[in-house]
Amino acid sequence: MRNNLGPALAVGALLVLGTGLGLALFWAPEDADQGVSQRIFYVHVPIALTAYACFGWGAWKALRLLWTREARYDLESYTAIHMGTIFGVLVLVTGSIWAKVSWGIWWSWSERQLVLFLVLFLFYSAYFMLRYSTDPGPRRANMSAVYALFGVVLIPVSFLAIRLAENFIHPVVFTREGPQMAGSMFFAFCVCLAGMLLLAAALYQAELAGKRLDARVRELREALA
Amino acid sequence: MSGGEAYVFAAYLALFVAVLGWLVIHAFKIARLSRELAELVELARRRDGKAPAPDAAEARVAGQ
Repeated sequence: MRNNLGPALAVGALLVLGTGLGLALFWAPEDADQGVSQRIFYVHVPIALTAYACFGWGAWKALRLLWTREARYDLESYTAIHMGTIFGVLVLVTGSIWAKVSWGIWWSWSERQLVLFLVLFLFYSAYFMLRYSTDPGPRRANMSAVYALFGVVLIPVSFLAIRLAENFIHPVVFTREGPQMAGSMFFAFCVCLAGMLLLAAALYQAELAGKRLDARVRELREALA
Repeated sequence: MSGGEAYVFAAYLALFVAVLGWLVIHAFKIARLSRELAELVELARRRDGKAPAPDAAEARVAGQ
């Protein structure tokens, strides 16, 4: 049976994300406080939540590896963390752009939310150093899985940091009372988030297929050598 | 374009550039894998004592 999940996800991502960005730019009302720069929210926050989802997915696959000892979970965990790191770079880039236009600075070391996300990002960047410093095999897979599981602890800390902070300039949009924005803004945000998650899923499927193909070509080369 | 609009454009552009960059890297990877696979098909044919048929191998890889 042919696997059509990848193309379906890519088409879905194109349609949903395209619609979401269109809504964010041309339909959602302009924020009374921040003006046009608030429209960065519709890419920055979905990208950040998608990065968390990718790291979480990587940790889940790592747990599955340690639980079942099935080797395929190693590649799946690695690919999810790879995607999370790409989205992590985008969080830092779009966040810095938003900070510059809203606060007049590219970065603030006194902001726990920013610093904790940077720590999370650097932690997962170090994952690749660890992974490629060890020879391929079960030992590397186990070490990578344990590392990926440790990193997942940082996700709720990073997510909740803004709520724990007392003095902050980073805005709090989602509170216990619900989203602090107009219904149309929240709808545009939800469409953007769905599109971003679909984009991450499509990229994950394509990246995973490429990595599996790479591994099989390597096996074939060794068999023919 | 106002200052605020330029920053919004830059943020959306960053997403577009990242996806495009990933696509370019992936295209190079697929091209490399296709090349390696064609080499391996040729190697396997030579091992079997069959005459190499690079055109057929290339057509098979291109048709994937």
